[in-house]
Amino acid sequence: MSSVSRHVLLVEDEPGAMMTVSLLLEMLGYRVTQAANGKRAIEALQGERPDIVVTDYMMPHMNGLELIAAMKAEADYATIPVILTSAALPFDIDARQVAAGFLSKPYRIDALTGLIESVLSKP
Amino acid sequence: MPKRVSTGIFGLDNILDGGLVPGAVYIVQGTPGAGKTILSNQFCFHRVTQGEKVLYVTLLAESHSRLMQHLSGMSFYDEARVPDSVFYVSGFDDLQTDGLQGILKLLNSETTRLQATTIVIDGLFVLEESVASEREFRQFINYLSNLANLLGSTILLLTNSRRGPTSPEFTMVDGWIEIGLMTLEYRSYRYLQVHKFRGSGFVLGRHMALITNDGMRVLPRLETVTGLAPNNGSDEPPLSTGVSELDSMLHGGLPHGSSTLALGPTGIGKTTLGLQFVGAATAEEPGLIFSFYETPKRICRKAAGLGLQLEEQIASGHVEVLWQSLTDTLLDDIGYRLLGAVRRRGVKRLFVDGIDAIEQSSIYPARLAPFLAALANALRDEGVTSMFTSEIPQLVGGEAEIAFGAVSAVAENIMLLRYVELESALRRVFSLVKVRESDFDSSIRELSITPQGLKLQPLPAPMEGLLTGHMHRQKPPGT
Repeated sequence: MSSVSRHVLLVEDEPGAMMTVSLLLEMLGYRVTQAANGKRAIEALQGERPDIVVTDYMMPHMNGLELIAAMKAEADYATIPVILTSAALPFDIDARQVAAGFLSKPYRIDALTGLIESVLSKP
Repeated sequence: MPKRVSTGIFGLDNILDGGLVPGAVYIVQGTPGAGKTILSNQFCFHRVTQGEKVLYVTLLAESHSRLMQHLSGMSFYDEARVPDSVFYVSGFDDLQTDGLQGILKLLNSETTRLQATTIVIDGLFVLEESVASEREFRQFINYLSNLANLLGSTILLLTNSRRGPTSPEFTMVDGWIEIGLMTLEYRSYRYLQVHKFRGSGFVLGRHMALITNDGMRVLPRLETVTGLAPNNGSDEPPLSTGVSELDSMLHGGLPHGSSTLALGPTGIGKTTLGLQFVGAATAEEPGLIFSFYETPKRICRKAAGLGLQLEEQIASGHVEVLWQSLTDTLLDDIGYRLLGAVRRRGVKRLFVDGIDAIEQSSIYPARLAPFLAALANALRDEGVTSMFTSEIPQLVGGEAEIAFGAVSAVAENIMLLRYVELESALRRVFSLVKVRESDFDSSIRELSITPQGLKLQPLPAPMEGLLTGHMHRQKPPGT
């Protein structure tokens, strides 16, 4: 499947990171919806279902792990794959157990797109 | 005195009379690169070691991952504490959506959620720029103060704004700390200055600061924080100099807790004298050699040539040798390093080889006298008997130009070592010029350096002319 049809919900509280990652993904053919934290992501999910969610962990109001838990609790969103990104995670969290993919920040854009494609290619 | 929150930053708590006050708001102001981020993060990670949690809110600052990358080289940074104890978030979306109210709501909800008691807002200038009026900003600062009080949190606001002391944020917050950089000739210096601190006194003025891999160290001007109490000296018995003839001249040794200045040209034997003084160190009277010119290895080699077992004394912990680089050294850094080493081991015998180097490290010559007075007083408080060397430019001949000036603070006792021309030979001579509150033998002695150490012998005949460098036999009376 070409990236042209991929719809990514990017959840990121840092405006600089949000803008640049969105821009690069769009230049690569992805369609991006932005949300500044977990709560805003839930609002966005109510509007349109993305193919994949890429979420930061450290965010105000609702962090990345809380977002994943909220999505799993909701049947409509439970099957949407989530990639978690963060410079640090709580010591007792194994990212592979809670998310479909994990990227340590800072990351290169090709690492993100590679992971998006890899996660979405899984049956 | 209100309860204090230790900053964990060397020197800063001394300036703040114990630390920051909980439930208060502080501005940390500084130009880019001054060290605001390091200071605030060092404070945060220190509070975490005290069992607290931290909320760090950025507004158009460097990315959190980049910030953590930069901090990872600092010894205070503990990645295991992120995000469980230190939580970095951006408040930009809340500011964009709900303005300053959004930031207040964010602080309220996140501090409650994380149970954070330390809050940092990095980018106060972004908030300033986003308000329609000064009044609105004043109101925000007022709310912030109330929030800090209600939550019992300490809030740091970081800004690179150059707004002045009459701006609302500066008038309404509880404290204002400035970090800056100044350049004098070719060197740049980092400084910290507290302009305002509610709740207690604080040390006014600029204090030099250093940033190393251990974070920020603030060096309160030594004379403002140490050696302030009057000290009437000690009644304990005198200390041996390690040179038996000199002890006889001093009627027992150096007054306990006194400072001695050994003056003389290069190569005369000042370092030898100091090595013998510290060479008499024991477990009860630990010694310290603080050297600017000679490395520990060279000092040990020199001591061995005098029959001193300095390496063994170092190994047994009776003596420590500290070498201080002369490159880009700060006066107060020398002072704190020296006092730190003295206090760490309870040093009683101190030898500082090269007070001239201390003089050279002073950016402002006017500070040298109060600095040395404070240092001498602090050493006296610690019960340290100290010896300093100072170099006289003339090798031989001419009137000895000895201008004590600032160093008189460490010259309770003065020893003069000189080369003199005597009967067609160059010789070393020694004399005591002054001894604190004690009688002493003021005769001139011939000084010789032997494999058994320094010897002070009476001159072959009565001589005069020490200060001119041209000694000659005294004429018999009546001739």
